[in-house]
Amino acid sequence: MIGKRGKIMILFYVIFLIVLFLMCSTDLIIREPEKEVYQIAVIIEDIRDDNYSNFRKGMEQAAIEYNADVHFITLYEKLNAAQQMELISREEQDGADALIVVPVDEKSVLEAVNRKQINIPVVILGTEEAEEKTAGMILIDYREMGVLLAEKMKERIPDDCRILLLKEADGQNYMSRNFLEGAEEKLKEAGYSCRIAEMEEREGYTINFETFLDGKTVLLAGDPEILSKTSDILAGDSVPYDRIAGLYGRGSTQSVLNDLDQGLITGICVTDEFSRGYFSVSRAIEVLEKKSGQEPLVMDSYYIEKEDLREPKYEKILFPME
Amino acid sequence: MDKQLGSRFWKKVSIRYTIFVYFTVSALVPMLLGGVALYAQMSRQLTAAVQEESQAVLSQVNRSVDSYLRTIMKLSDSLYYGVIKNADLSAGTVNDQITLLYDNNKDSIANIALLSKNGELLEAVPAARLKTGLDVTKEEWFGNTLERTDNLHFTTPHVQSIFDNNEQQYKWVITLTRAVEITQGTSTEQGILLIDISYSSLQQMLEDITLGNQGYLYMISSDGELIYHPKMQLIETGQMQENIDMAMTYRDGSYQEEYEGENREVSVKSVGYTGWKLLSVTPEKGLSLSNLKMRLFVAFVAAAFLLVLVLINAFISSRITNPIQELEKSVNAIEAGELDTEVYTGGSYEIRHLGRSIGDMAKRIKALMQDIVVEHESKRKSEFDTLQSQINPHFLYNTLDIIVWMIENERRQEAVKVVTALARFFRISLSKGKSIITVRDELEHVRNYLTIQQMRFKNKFIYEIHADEDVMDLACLKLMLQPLVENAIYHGMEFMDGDGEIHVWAKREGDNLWIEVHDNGLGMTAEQTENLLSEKPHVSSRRGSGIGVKNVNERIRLYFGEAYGLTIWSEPDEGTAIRCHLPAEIYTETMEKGQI
Repeated sequence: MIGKRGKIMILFYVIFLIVLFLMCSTDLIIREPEKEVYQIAVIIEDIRDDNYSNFRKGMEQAAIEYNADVHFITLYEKLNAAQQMELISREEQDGADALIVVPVDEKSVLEAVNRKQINIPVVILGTEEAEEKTAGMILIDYREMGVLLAEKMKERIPDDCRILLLKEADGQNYMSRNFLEGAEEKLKEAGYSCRIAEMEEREGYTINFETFLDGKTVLLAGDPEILSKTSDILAGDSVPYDRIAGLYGRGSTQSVLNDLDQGLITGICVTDEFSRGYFSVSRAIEVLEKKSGQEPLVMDSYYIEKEDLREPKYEKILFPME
Repeated sequence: MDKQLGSRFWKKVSIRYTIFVYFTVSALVPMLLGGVALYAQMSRQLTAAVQEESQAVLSQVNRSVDSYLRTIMKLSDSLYYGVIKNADLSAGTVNDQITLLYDNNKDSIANIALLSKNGELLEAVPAARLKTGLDVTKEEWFGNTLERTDNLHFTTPHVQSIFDNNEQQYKWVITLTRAVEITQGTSTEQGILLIDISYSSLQQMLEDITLGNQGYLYMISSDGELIYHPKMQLIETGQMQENIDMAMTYRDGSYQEEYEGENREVSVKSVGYTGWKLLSVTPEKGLSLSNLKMRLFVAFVAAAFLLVLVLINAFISSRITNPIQELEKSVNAIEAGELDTEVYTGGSYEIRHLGRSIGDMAKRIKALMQDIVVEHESKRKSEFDTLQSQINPHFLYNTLDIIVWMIENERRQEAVKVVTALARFFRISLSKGKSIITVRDELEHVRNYLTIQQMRFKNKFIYEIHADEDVMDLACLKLMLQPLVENAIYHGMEFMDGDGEIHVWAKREGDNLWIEVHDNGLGMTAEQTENLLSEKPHVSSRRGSGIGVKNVNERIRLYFGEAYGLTIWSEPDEGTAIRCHLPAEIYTETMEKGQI
């Protein structure tokens, strides 16, 4: 009925059918994508996570969507790069699938990634685009943010004002440093006199208003914590308000926003921290699933004042829905 | 060129292959069309089922949201008609009642406040004051409420920021406002009742709704602002998009849309009173028929069906063509000349009928061929017989010349003898047209011939005829010996110096009859002997009877078969012996059989 060649062809066809059956009806050849729970560790540069509340909301939404288990880890000692590297190693050894790092020292983390000292995907929340795309990058140009703030300040403060740049006495992270550098450079260009004041926590932060010379002074805080503490000080009774022309800074903590709403803070620069948190996790998952994720994502900065708080656009950025 | 190749290909293709291909194609085409139609129908049904399910879920959610909002509106009514209207705010009892209603609904209510038309906060639960310097009359909802006092007004989700409650937390709310009459002492004025609905309570109602694999649900206001979306935060901050512009144009029902390169099923349901729209979105790729394994399964079913189809078609085509192939073998055998081959007559009626017809045709061809052979043999016999029966005119003229000479010389007795011999010679030559005569007659015929020739040649030779009695009645070919004797006379005796001798004898050995003509004439060389019976043209002596030895040989073989014929022995100067080999058959029996 069927020749030898025909029988061989039918045999191959039957084998093909069996393979097709195994492909469509079993998990032997094509596995249904399992919803793997990825362990992602987020290591920040600070000892507290006050500045990361909106970031965490975005991160948590992404964790739900992408089925990830996210651990948020703070340092024991502020701005200790060595300790952060230790934590990175520890998390890797403890079985983290990916890391999201807000680096104390951006270069050393990048170097560790490039040297394969870290063998799991890393998403770095940094400031500069790396030459080698070995890690996911979500970038905020804090220097540019400082420039943006300085531009806005120029429009609002008198020309004879002096600028007091406030930073922590026990060191500052790269974000504050870049932010203040950018702002100072721009303000000096515009002819403003700038001076740096280090704030030290001795039974609470204090500002020595005696050091203020005659004339108006504008305060510019390098990070959200300093900004918040300064606004607390300005809320006190011993402040020579007639000599203070404004308080500026960066950050969108609830405390900062309340102070802005109350008029204690004049203006702030913010970023969409919710989106930053969301995309840091989604990028880490994309890298884990060998999709894209290595292209750097640059976040925009916005300048807002009290009147902008209720603008729908900024309302969603500053008060993200949970 | 291609057409020629195609034509050549089909010429080489077997009937089995042709039937197989046609059957397979003719079955495959409707199968594929049916499969595609079935797949399309299944997809449509699935889509319809998804739409129905989406509509059902949407209706359910819509009822829940509607019920939720009605509860809030009832609370608003209770606050207004039960607490505020006709109550004297200055009495200080209103706050307790508002607090009571707030406590009963605190899961879904964030704030209840009563404002004067000037924006003054009259009551607030939980206790709060308006933010310093805030003029609520400039709020959009404030103006809208006073503008349309009969309506309840719902805002879109927003952070409630009019109260200064010293909380570090912010709250997302949807604010419901209505115009109310406020009584304070003796005066009555218009005010606004504000109820902040906790957004989280509405969110909880919607966020656990799942629609298939990748489906989701969202809600927009009549102005196209998002009320709820699973990725609301990302959409509102511009990180993601939703097809809201198109959604605003939809009425209640189901729609198909393409958005960001993706086909989606969208169902729409309006939420009562508010003008909000609930939308369910089901991406096409989330439907089960679209996934890889389902597609592979469809391919598997189609491939398995094709295999079954191929096997059935192979079986059918072989059932049809096997008898044809068998018949073809029979026809090939017939074509090769094997007319006795048994023709295959199996298979279907038509093939059996064809087989029988071909078999009959082969028999008919065989019969016709036999007829042709017989006819040909008969014709040849007739030709030979005609040749045989022709008398050389020289022989007759010479014989008659001798007779005349004898009469003129008064040699009457000799003339009578010659005339008698001639008469008998002719009588036997005729023999009523028979080709077979007895040995007796044949010997008599040759004797008469020898007698006449002996007279002609003036006794230049002598002859002797000897035959056993048992051979006399055997069948013999007429005029068989005369050419042999003629050959002996003209080639053996004519130029001999001495007396010639011709001996004719006949004897039987079992089933064989042997008749030999032997002379002592000049004889022949081996080459001459060979030529005598060969196919080469052989010219008989003009002076003989005109019948060659070769013809005798051929006549014997024609009448009695290839096993019989002449054998010649000859030596130059020694003589020649020609022996006839015939079957020893009784003449009468042969004639009765009618074989010859």
